[in-house]
Amino acid sequence: MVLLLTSDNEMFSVAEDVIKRSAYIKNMLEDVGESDLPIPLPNVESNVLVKILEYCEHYRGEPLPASDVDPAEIGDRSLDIADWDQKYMAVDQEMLFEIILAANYLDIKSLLDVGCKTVAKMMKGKSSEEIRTLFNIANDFTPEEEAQIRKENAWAECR
Amino acid sequence: MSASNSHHASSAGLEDQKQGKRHDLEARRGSLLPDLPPEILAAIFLLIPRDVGDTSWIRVTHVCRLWREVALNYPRFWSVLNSVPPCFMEFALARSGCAPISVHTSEDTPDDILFKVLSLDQLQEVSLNLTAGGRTVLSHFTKSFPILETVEIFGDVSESWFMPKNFLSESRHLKHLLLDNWRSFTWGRLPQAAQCGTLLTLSLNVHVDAEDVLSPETFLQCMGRMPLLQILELEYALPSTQADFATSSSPFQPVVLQHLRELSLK
Repeated sequence: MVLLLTSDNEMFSVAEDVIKRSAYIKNMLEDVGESDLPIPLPNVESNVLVKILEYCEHYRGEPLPASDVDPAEIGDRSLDIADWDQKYMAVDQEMLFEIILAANYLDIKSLLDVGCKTVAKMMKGKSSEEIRTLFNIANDFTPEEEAQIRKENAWAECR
Repeated sequence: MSASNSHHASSAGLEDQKQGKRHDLEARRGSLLPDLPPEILAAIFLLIPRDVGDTSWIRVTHVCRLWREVALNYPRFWSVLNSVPPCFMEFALARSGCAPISVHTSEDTPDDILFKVLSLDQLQEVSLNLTAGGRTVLSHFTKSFPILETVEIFGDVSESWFMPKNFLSESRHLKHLLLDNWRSFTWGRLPQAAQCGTLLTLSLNVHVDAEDVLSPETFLQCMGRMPLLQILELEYALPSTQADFATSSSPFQPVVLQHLRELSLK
């Protein structure tokens, strides 16, 4: 078993073959070897780790992906998401982004891939204003930038 | 400028700065996405679908300054262009930096616009729709494309085009070649395109030039230069009379395509 200590000081005892889906933990275990000391995860809160472990548990035994992949190269370019993954990602926005950040930190490529696809799907077909509303982002462009954007929109529309 | 004016100007500058920072803070307050690292945001941007003729993916660069900055600093975001308008193509390619380019053109893309603005060193994948004409574009394919892997050219069977000499002969990493609706196809010039033995896919829907007598030797020579071939699709690409094959008295050495997994002959 591997001990994990979250940022809010909760200790988790996890089977090694479950948590090895995280390339970060896997490498750490290989480098350090067996130890009774917990691995601190200062960037992951306990409620997020519970969710991450649910994912790792579900895919226990599945082959691990190659570790040297650029985030921009993750998975295929389609937005297809497996049924179980879709249900898993049916969480509020805050948790969705916490999962993505944790997957990035723990280096779980497949989970990062699913997280990015979920967000891309949310944006698909939406206007800039709709995306701002969706993610609660303010329009902070200067008038000059707005003018440039209008020009780009015109180029995008011209035939 | 007097001292008081100068003081006034610097106060105004400070006020502008404060205003700008307040603006930034307000932009981030309550928003979760801007906290994502740029590389993750960029990966998400790249996943937004780019259907044929669709340019709506650029909208993510019009959301806020941070997103725009991430996209502008990410050349790959600008390097996948699927039948976009010509002026947009120029604009996007100018931002694509050194990223490998993947371009699909539509029938209303002017012939030479692509090669006018594109660095040949960057072209990795090209799909040209030349149904509205465009034989002059073919001459560009005699140039050197160091990373070109995929070429798809959709022609018009009513137009008679000629494969230029040295067609794709300087594309040493070519993996996928598809020629659709070509008239006056010349088998004899294909080995140049395949001379590096890197082809994985060969798909030809072509009408062979009446004067191009396909000898068994030429055909086998072509096939022999594609040892890695996985997909072979030949539609109308073989001469209708196979007299040469039938009557040839010399024995042929069989060509082994050990990686072939899809074969379609019509």
